[in-house]
Amino acid sequence: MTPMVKVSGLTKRYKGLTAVDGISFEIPRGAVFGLLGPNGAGKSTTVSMLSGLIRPDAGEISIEGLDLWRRPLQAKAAMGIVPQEIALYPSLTARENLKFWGRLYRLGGRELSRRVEEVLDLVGLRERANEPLEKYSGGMKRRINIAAGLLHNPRLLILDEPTVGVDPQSRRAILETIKELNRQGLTVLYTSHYMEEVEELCSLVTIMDRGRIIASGRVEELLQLVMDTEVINLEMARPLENGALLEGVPGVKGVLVEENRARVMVEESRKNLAPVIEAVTAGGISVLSVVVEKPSLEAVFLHLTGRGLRDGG
Amino acid sequence: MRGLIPFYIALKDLLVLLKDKKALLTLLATPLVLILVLGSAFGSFWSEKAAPSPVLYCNDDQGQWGAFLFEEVFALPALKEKFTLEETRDLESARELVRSGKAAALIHIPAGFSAALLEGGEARISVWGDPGSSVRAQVVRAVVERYALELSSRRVVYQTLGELGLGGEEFYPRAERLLEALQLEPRIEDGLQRTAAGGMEPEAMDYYAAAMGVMYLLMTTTTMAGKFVQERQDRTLARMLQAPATPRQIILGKFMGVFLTGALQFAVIILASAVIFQVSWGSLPGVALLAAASVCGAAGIGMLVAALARTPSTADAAGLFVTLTMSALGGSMYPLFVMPPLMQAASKVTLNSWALQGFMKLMFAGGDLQSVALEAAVLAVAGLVLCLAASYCLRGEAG
Repeated sequence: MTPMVKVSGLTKRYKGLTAVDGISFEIPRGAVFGLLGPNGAGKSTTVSMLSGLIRPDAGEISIEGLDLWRRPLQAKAAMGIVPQEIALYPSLTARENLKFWGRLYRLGGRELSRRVEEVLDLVGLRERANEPLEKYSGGMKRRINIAAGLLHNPRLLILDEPTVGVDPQSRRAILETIKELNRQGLTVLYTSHYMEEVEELCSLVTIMDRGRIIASGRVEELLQLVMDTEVINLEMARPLENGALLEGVPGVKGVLVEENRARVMVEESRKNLAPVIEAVTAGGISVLSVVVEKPSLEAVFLHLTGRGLRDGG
Repeated sequence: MRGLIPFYIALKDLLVLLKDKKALLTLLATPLVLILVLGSAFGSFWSEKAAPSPVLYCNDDQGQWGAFLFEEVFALPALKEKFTLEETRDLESARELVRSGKAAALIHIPAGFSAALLEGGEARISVWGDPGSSVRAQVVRAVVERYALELSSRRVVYQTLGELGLGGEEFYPRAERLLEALQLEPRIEDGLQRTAAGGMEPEAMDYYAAAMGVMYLLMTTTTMAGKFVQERQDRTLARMLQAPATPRQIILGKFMGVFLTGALQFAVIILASAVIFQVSWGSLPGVALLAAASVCGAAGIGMLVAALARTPSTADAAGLFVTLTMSALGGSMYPLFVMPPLMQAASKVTLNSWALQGFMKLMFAGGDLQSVALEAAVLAVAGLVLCLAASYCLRGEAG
């Protein structure tokens, strides 16, 4: 079966900086494909190329077997895009916004009205559909932002960091909506730097760093890379100057310092937790709290790059 | 459905503007207030009688119809109080006087004009006047055009009688009787009287209705430019480009949005000023053509500002600068016809000057659709050229 998306050798350069460096991947139909990486990894540039917004310097993209740059209108009609920004008109009501975006996707008449009501129901905002968006909360705007990408019943939904800046309740609603849409057969490309979301939603994950793909596969497969590694999160009374205090402590594979917090990758935390705390306190720093995490995609990234997902490029 | 995408974008832009109450107040109410204030403030100043303007003429015709124009037509009271005729034999110097603004116009009737008229040959009257010069030059042109039109009616009668073989001694009395029966003779007088009376001194309220209308038209289109740039910043433009719409459709839609908004605003100003201040805009088809062309020109300027500005605040500042500069230079603040010739020449680079020149012809010189064709063409072509330049600058939007 033709994959929903096929990307090969995709490259984009900006004034000497290679934002995306020859990446290739495929998204099978019906999958939720996660594109994970820190800010500046090249996720948004990849999404912009996939959605036909920017032209790659090299490489090919096909959507349902259609070359995106040779048959852009047909390929774009198969996609629903949910940009990272709330790309809507604040002075217009939710219904007016959705009708405008629906018309751009060639919907009209009763079909447009029906789809507008359906997506409003889906995101749970039908009751407030006649209010201008400027009166909405951030989370509600995000939900309309997603609804606008669903109007034309796309076969592929591309969501670029759709939960940035939303409250936990709205985030949960968004994630549940995406899961439900996928159950109905929609293929989803989901980019985020929140590893928990990607772990929860995605069947396939590709991790990008500095424009390149550094790992890809099923979530379980990626977690195998760090199966023997756990992360000890330490909160301290004052910042750890650097990770030098923990060098030489048995089982420590890496340390990530963020102000007065430290993330310490260790083998067998049960055995090595005490030596880690002792080394910190021996350096004159009080430990306020300790949390041990199970292996995660964040640990995978830390394992592969020596950096955290949230500390950027 | 695809072909309607530009239309949907334009409608959305109009809807967004209609929901912006502050912008609506600025773009609709403010010009009407300014028309009232400026029209009232300068009304008495404008109503003062101006000295008659010199009109140069060179009559090489030996027949009656050349002389009739200068001895009878320009002797009509409505024309006499505005123009003093000065005969000249040196056409080159006379043209220079017109160019330098020292004479309102130059009329030349060549030798054999009356004979050609009677014999059915080519009969031509030439009028020189700076197209951007005072209303009075346009009145001279309108009077001569009207005279030529009336003479051509007379010529048809002569030709018909000639073709019927009704010549001989009875030819002219018969022609006069026929003209009288057809009521052409009184029409010459009436027509010229009307044209001359139509060429009255500009009314301040009328002038400022057109002047503020054009100035705020520019303000509207450059405001829309700012909103276009805002769309780039808010990423709604990117979202449009991600939809199955071509960049060309999107740019056309944005142009149509600017055009539609400008047209709506100008129509409101024209109607409101006509109803509230009894402004007489002149020939309806002429006003419609000139208004549409002005909107096209202003939309082109707005699109170029949108294409060149990177941020909404830059677009707003550039739009204000363009609007105020063009309005000051182009006659929206200070009347064109009292500007010195150099300033009048410089004003030709502005949209305001071309639009106001056309509206003055319609308002004060009895002009019609045909008489504003030049101004409308200049404005429309300028608008389209600027829009093409804007499209060229925006071509990179889709990567």
